[in-house]
Amino acid sequence: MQFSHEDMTKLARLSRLALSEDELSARQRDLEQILSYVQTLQAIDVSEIKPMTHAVPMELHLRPDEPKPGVGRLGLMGSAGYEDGLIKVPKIIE
Amino acid sequence: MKTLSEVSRALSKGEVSSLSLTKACLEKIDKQDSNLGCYLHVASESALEAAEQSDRRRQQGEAFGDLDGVPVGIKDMIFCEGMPVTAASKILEGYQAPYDATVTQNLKKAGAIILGKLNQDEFAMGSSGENSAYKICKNPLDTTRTPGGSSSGSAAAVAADMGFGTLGTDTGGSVRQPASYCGIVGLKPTYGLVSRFGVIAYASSLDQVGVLGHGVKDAAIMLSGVAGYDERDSTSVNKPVPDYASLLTGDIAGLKIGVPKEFFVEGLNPEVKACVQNALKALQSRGATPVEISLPYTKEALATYYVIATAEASSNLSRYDGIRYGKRLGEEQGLKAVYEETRGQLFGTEVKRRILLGSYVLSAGYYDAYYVRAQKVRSLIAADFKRAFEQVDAIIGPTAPRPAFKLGEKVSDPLQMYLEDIYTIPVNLAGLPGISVPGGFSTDKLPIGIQLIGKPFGETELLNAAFALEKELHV
Repeated sequence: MQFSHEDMTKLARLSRLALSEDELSARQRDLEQILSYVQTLQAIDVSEIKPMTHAVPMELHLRPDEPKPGVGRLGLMGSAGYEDGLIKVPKIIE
Repeated sequence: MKTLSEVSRALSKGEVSSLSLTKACLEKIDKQDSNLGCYLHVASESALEAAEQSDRRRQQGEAFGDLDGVPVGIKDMIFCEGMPVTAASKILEGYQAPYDATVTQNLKKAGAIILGKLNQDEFAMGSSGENSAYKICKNPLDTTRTPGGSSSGSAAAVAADMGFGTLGTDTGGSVRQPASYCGIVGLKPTYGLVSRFGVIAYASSLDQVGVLGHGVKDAAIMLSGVAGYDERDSTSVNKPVPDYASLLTGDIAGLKIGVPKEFFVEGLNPEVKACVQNALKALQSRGATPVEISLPYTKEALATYYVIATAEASSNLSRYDGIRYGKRLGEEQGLKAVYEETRGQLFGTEVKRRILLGSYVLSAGYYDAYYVRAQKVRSLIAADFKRAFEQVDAIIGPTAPRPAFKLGEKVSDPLQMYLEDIYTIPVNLAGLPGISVPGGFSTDKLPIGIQLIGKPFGETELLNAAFALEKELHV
């Protein structure tokens, strides 16, 4: 399993991680090693097998649609930088 | 050394007060934790206040039950209202839990005293505790060694008497493996038995809250305290929660114990192997019958886990964007830089490694080849166990391939570190309950854990088998 520098840059971008050149090459080596190990899965015949998405069979259950007290907007925002009850973000449109 | 069940009995007889127990734990933390590193946050004031309230309840004859007045600790993955919650990550530094997790609420309702938040590997990713962004936790039995991970503080705190029971989380062995390394009991319940509401998510199809204590009865009391249906967790399963401790008889006559041949292969330390064989003999002497079984896909479990867990982690951890929680970096360079700089600088190496791997296995062109294939192999692993449980009532094996290793020994080799979890990971993939019980010591005087695996929602039988083993071995 080989990764190019370009592959790693793309992966870091998809993951929204700013990584230094040193970090990129160190993670490249890690990923190559781990994915070589993961290759063992390719040898298994899974053609008739259904994917398992959860640990135990379960149905989606809904809770009754009744209002209950919550922690509120400010409570949930916790320590996010906010002003006047609104979350402050950098300018997104130039 | 007193166990949770012993202090619970002493409290009910009025031989000891919750305040004195809480003070003793806090003093121990104050004196020894700067060296051991079990706690990330100590809540002395609220703990002492809760202990006084518990003592008052008891004096008025209104005590809640087994856990009332018992000092416990909680892993930093779990929300406790008003306390810091960081998952041992710099990205959540300064963040406070705005509400209680259901398990925290359940412990409070049972009257337990919450001493504070326990150290761990960052976002529960690791097997040695060394991935904590704040401090390394040491094994109280040998401080040059790891206590195991990721629930490093949860296991070390119990072993060092800095709490009589603790909560951890177990995604691939993070409760059982540290319990094994620290010579205590650690139980990972069936997926769905314990609510995950208010628990920081790592890999949602595998994560489960687990309990730790000195003995099996302690784990049973803790489990009864936290388990139960929760409408706020869509994966919660509605099953009655018995008083597990009262059902421990130690009678296992006729119990069939599966011995998977795939567990006893190259890579297993001979002392650990001998210890498991000794445990099996102990169970036999109580009337259990060993049955050789096969779990053919055991060796594929680790690769399966690292595809599924990292895929889910890359998705779950996308919420740490520098906007909603804790710290924010790169603001002057615009929104994209906020995401990338905050995450790039504040996540630790192992977390970034897993996010990158997860993004890769989920990316276009690789999704079917890695992620879907791993989910299919997971079906095969679960089917192995289902078949085995048609023949047997419980399965025995090692918890970890060797006793606790030295701090620093595996930190630079991720794959070697991952191999520490080969015996625990299949249990998470299949969603089954598993428990680690002290089985003996190595020639270096390091504890060795025995793992017992049960049927889905078979916690009563599993705890009873573990109790019989504990009684017979006297470790």
